[in-house]
Amino acid sequence: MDRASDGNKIIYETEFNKLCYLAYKGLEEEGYAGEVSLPMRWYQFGMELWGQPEAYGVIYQGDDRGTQVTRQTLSDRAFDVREELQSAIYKVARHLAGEYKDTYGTDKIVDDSYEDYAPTEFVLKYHEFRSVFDNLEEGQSSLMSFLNDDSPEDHISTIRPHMEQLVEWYPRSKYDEAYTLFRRWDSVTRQLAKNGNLDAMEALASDFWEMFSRVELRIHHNIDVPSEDQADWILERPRHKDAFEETLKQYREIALNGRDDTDHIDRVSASYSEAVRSIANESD
Amino acid sequence: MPDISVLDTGVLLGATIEKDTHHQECIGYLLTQETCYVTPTVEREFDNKDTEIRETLSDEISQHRQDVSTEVDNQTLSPSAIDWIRTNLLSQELNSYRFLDQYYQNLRSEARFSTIDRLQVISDLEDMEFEVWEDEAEEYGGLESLVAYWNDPIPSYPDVEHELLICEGDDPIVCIEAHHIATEEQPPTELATTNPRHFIRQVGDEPETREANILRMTNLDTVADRSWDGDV
Repeated sequence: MDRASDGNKIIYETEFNKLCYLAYKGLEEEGYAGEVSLPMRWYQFGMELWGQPEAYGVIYQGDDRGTQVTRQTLSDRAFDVREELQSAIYKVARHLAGEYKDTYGTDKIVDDSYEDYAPTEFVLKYHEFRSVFDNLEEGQSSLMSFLNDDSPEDHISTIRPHMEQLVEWYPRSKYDEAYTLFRRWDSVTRQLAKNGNLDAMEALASDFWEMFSRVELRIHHNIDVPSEDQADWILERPRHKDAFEETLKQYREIALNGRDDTDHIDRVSASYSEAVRSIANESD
Repeated sequence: MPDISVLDTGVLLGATIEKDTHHQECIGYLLTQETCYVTPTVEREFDNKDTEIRETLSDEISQHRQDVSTEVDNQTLSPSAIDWIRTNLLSQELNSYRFLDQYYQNLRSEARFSTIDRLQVISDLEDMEFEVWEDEAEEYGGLESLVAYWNDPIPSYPDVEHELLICEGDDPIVCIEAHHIATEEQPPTELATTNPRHFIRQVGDEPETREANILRMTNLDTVADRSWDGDV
């Protein structure tokens, strides 16, 4: 990439991770997946390398735009693989360097990775849902309704179709551990949208996806990650779920405080009260 | 009316969660009593039940809403589509079955005269998921301002406990705690409950009513039923 762009290209961590995964998929297509041994896991916004960067011959350095990736000088031994695999690696690397040498920012490569390799339709739909916030920040005209603070109805009508897609595509049997939290997050998010509280909705979406990555994505979607690391992730699940439950409580309170009164339950209050008493007595 | 009241968990649930006459009865009681004590057992039981009830009902409604989202394609709902939802997407085993079914019955009546949008039903269910979390006591300054929490140590009263007929769950402990408060506070003390079956009536072949037994064995002066008896 460095050579293809005449040294003009700065690569950031997100792009580096995506390039590694695209390279892996390229080699997989050529039939070399078994020989590559590149530990990766799906975490938040796509596949990322698992392990210390030094192991991959790069150094991470933070700057004002993010984490910059620079290559280390590697000895010839680092490339000591059989000739056929070496040429396949060069071929894939040249292809990717050509494809992305003039692309600045990470949007294109992230979108490409999602479109081609999102592990489930739900993950792809969540990426589209997140883009609502990105577009909002850029003030795109299709989302101008978001900018009108006086029209909370517009907020929910913009958000709801995305939420309905997420509900439709949630693979319950695959992501069963996080299902209840997904449902509760969905509920609180819709109320925040009705209240027009976009900042809270975006912050909660970020917390949700972090939890979801820890509880489901990295466990279901990884390559060559040592089994002891995977076992640790499984053991950590309850901690991450409990932490998000606490987060949800705080946002539910925010949503409750900001909502307009509705009276649907008041209209069925007698049978509602019976339900309350029934649960109270069951737990005696 | 006695100066001191000790509350059973049901009175707190009625004051905070319920949205019908139970609520009026319970909140009215708290507003008119001079001092309402919440014992440690009732405080703990209320915290657990309050969360459990709200979480259970909100979860059931949101699960049902998601079922409607995924199973119902029509953009408008005819009376027969509403009946289909009632039959196929509402299990009678749900705690929320009766009030959700009542909601659909009301909707069905509306559907005879006007168009019902599927999206409106989704939105109503979203609202209900949150109505469940509302604290009805907030309107009166919140539960904290209406009750006092008894935090002093409560000794055991084995002789009293041995003679009490009430035996369900934590109810005997609540009686003992109320007995202790009555002993310590001196003025006429009342135990307020919304559960006459456990605290007031005669059960099976027990030799006396629960109320008579509690009044005979403890220093409480009255046991008050604050549940709604159906009178308007």
